[in-house]
Amino acid sequence: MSNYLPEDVIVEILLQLPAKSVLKFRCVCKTWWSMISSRHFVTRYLARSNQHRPSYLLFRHYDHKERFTLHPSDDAFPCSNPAIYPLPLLKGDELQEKRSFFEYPSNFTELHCPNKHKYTFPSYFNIVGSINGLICLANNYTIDGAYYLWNPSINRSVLLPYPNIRQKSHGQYTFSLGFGYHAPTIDYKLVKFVYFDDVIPPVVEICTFHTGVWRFVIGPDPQYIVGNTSVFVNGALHWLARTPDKGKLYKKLAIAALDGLLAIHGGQLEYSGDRGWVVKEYSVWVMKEYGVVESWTKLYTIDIGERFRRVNLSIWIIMQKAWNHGMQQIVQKA
Amino acid sequence: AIQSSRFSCVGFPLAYIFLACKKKSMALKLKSSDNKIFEVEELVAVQSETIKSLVEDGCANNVIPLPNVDSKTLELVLDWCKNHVDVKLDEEKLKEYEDKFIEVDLAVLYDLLMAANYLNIKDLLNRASQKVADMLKGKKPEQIRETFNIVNDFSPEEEEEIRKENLWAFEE
Repeated sequence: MSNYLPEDVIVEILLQLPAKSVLKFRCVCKTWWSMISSRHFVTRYLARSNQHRPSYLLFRHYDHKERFTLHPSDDAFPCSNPAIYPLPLLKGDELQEKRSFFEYPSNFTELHCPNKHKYTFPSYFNIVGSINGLICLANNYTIDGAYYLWNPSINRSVLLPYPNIRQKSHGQYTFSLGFGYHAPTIDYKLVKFVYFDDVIPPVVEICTFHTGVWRFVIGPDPQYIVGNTSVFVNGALHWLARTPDKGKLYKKLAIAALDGLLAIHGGQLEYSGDRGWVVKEYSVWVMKEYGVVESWTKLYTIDIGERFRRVNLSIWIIMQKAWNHGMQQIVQKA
Repeated sequence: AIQSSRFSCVGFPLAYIFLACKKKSMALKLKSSDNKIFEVEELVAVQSETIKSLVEDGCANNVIPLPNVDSKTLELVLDWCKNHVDVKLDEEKLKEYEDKFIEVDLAVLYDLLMAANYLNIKDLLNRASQKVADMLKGKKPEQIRETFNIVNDFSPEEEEEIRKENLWAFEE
């Protein structure tokens, strides 16, 4: 029996291994280390895992402390649980006594959040986006953000440089982020739309991760981006925007990708006096043909119960306030 | 000798036309490292990218020598190819076949790997690599070195440094 296998065969074997084993085998010898660390190997490994691995849902919860969990797409989520919401809004409320998210039978993997120990004051991360198993996080203790590129499978994160526009030098602003990937250069990008006093067009900054430099770019048509959610599909970043019509309220809020199609998970908003903004219903929309506006189709509507209406109420108010007055005030109040 | 070779030169295209009409696939002759000749349909053989490019370049008119593959392995590889040429075979049956096919000794598995790599047969290479990977994934780096006769050329400090970078990967 020959124990000798040529390098290209070893690479084929390594490509079939789970990430954990691949990382472990880096210390076998120098040849293996350089094979595994090479850009060529990483690119092939990525292509393979994108093809073969099942999809997961990434969740961020606030359950006395912030947690990130990965759920198989067929996970039976605990559906009536307040712990999934990011802010401790329900203090003193009877809902607090409900069981924690983690006590529900659910087949999840907990990811270890990076750099939490650095902040002694309450701060939390927003998920900007996730591509190729990498997660872009924004720490929300200031609107300037501390942006991280996090690879949970090797438990490592990198802090990105701060953008050019800072609250200290430029004053109060609102913003929207997007995390994208440029396949030809194998490089990741973070895009930040900045609005001063809701003035359009926004100032757009982009950070290329490879160089770690923020530069200004010309943004798309003058529109207001709705919410702080973007989705990366077909090699491009997408946001939901509305035309500058002050009289009309925006209708759709969060965006998610479904089966490679662009989908919007939205809510119909209705104002009802002192009770603030009430979500009447959620509906899921799908753009059936990519880029064809007419192909937006409503898939289904979700009726949310009375109790959830209350919980959602708070969330919607926060989003609304964030939109109008900037995140800073909201974080201070929270 | 000149006469007979001229004869075969005339005979070969005729055989080609005959086969092309009857089976829509020409027969190729492959010679293993231990000089055994295997006659196979072109459709079966061109699943090997290596053989395919020889055919496309017009270099496959005579016996194709495969000095890196012995007859025992070549027989197995051709069996794999035959079973993958028939697209009518349903997925479940194909998987059943592949699972059974790959249940071999480590020595045979290595030979298959080497042959699949040399002949450039993607699906066989993937399947055989997967089988080896399944055997390796739980092992420690020390066991990997033993399995492949690899000498550790890291200094203890260097090795410690790499382990530290991804400690979690070393947790059982």
